Amino acid sequence: MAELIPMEYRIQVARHRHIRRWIVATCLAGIVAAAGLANAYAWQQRQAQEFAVLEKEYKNKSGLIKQATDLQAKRLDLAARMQKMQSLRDDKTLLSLLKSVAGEFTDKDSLQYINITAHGNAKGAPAKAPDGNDYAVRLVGITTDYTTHANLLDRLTDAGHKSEPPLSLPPDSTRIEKVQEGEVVHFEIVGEAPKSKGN
Amino acid sequence: MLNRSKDSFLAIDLAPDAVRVLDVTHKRGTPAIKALAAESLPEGTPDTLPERHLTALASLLATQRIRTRQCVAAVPSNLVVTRSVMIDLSKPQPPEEQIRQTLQNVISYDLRDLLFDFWNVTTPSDRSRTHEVLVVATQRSIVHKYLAGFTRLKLSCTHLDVAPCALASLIAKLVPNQESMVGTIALGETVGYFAIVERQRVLFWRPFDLPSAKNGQQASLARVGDEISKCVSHMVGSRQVDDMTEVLVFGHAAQDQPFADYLTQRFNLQVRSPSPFDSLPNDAIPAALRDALQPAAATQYAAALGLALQPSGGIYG
Repeated sequence: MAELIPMEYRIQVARHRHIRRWIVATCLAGIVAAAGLANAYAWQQRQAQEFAVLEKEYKNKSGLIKQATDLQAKRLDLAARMQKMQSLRDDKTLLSLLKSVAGEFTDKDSLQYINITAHGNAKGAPAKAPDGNDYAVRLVGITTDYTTHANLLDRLTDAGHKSEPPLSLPPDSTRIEKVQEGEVVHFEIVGEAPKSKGN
Repeated sequence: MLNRSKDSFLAIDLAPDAVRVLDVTHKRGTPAIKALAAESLPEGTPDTLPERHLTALASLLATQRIRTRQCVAAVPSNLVVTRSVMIDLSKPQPPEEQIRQTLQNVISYDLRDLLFDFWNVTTPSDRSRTHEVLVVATQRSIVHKYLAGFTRLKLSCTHLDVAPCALASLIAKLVPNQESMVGTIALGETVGYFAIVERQRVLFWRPFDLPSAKNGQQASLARVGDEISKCVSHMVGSRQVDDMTEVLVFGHAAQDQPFADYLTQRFNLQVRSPSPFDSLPNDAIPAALRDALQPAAATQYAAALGLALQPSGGIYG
């Protein structure tokens, strides 16, 4: 057999074939890589979407948890208040002191502030009552003049003797001062449990 | 699918007067013919032969709707020069250089345009410092024209041979005794060649022109006879040709009985004109195709079928 195809043509054909194969292989690799990247990108997008959904759900649930916590705190606060109100309502000493003091004010007297320490331990609380109970009442207000102030003091003293528990107004329990050029008198009266005889 | 496409190829005989194509598929090492077609060349000068071949081939591929894209081909014998060259192994030049020096006195074109192949006709031995090779040479530019044309037709040519070598492969299948030396004559309308073949190897080959038909049949017979005589004379000088037992004739007018009788009487040899397709198993060619092929047409495909029968189907690289 003779072979008349020149070597340079065979080399050229072989080179073209190799180039073609490389191009095909490169294209295939590129397609595979692109498909992989697209798949990875799509997966990442799906993950991001799922994360967003979960984050949104978490935020919603966090709000609900916060609302529930707030509600629980309010309920606890309300319960504490109600318990406090219940304790105040059941406190006979406090109610009795308040009732005896409040009933002695007339239209010439005005109560601005009242502080009742019904159960001792109060700062600067007076001496103990005969039954051992500590209590004190501090009244701040204004009245028309010295006369009405004296009348108020008398009425409070009488009411204090009659009330249960009794409330004593010591001689130095009141301080007065004129305000607005003598038109009204500002007073501060402190009542306390009567001191026992042994004291 | 890839293997199937690799095992299918076109065997294209670029004869001086026509293009003949066989669509071949190798099945378990045996070629099977799927289709065959031939297209005559338009009129023209020998210079335009490659262009006319490629035009006819393009027309043939289009009309026959042939999809096979791998091919082997045989260049026209009238574009090839053949010479027997004695290679002297004692010379410092390699055989290629010695052949080139011999051919530069023969060829009419630029030596840089020379393209050749060769094979041993006699075996180098220790007793002789020379041995004979048969050289086939053609113009590189012509080969490139054909290869470029094939590329334009989207054909990938893997083997480009000469017709006598293709016939040698065919004869190996047609002649039972593989050791015998066989003469073969291939005839076209205007040109032909005589070749001596032994063991699938062309030992010598001589192309010749045929006289015009208007000169009569006797003139053609005499011309062929003279050419064979020259070949035999040459071979007697270089080799022992007494072993040549028969002559196989293919091509134009191969079936003519007067032609066979003339050769038989002149050279005292058996002359046969077998169908090239006898070399194939019965199932290698569709029955309809085999029945449709008349002997006068079948013999024209000898070179194309020889290409198909070459080792590995003639596919290289």
